[in-house]
Amino acid sequence: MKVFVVGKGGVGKSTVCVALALILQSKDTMLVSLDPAHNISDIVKNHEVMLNFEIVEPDFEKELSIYLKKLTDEMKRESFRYLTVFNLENLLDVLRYSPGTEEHMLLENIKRYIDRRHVVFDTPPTGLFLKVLGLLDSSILWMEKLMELRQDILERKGIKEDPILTIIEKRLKEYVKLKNTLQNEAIFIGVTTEDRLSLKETERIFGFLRKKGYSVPLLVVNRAKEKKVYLEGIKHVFIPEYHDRNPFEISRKIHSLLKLEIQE
Amino acid sequence: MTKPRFIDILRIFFKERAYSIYDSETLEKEKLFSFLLYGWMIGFPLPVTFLSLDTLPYAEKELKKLFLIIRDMDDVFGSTLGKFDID
Repeated sequence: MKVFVVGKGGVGKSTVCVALALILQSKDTMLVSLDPAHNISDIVKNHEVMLNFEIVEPDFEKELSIYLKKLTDEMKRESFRYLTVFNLENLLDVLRYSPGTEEHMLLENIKRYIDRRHVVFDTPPTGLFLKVLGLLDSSILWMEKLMELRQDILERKGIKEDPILTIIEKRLKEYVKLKNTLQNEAIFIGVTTEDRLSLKETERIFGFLRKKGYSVPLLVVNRAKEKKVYLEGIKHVFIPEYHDRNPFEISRKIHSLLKLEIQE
Repeated sequence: MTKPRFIDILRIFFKERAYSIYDSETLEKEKLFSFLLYGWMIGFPLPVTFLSLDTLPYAEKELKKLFLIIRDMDDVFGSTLGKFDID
């Protein structure tokens, strides 16, 4: 099962993620934190039990540096004459603050771990996460058009093999596969509290996800004082205030509903 | 030796012309492709995409096309007229 946990910051997304990982735990279960402010380890640290799942908290800065180092080496290997003109070391600073970089790194991490049998993603703040999903769609569209243009050029010049086209094709294939997996195999679980802002934000995320064709079957209402249905057509789980920080109690609550979801 | 017929001369002329239009169209497409992927390298306010970085080690020819854009920008009027063979 591939699960994304979405919701406003501070509503208890990470705790719910740990709860879900506890339900799904096996040798092939992974809990991936996509939130740059990783706090999964802190939650787990408070509960001294053996966990049978892997926790991944990617360091995006480090990943970016490794990526650029690999790129620089590859360019040297290809005896790239323009290397001296484009100072790749300085490019790191440009890239770090360039629009789209953070979204790209997040998308790459989703792509990297999505094929695990059970994976739970703790998503970053709503605005950023919606941009990541938007980036997936726009990248696919952009690469399709770019590929058409490249194929036209190569046909005109009578070139049969081209490394640039191969890279674009490979990336496009990966992104289309990721989109299909997200639409057909993944589920998005919302977490909210009863306050108006959290509810509004959840409503907005669910609207966006449904529009994009993603499955949103479950809403976890954290610190619930009353059992009220906030979103029609979605199963609700109510976590009372005295359990809101305990992933074990939450997992007990969600367990039956989630099992139902797996069977469906 | 037989004299070339007028129609043959015309055919050669138009063939050459067609080739030259085809080549310049291809060059324009190549420039467009380079610009879309690597435009940020020559100062256009385009975001750096990771696809452009992935392809960078193989993009020497594309970057040369990009420099053609810069060169032509010094004389946009001249390069446009050049495309239509107007001196």
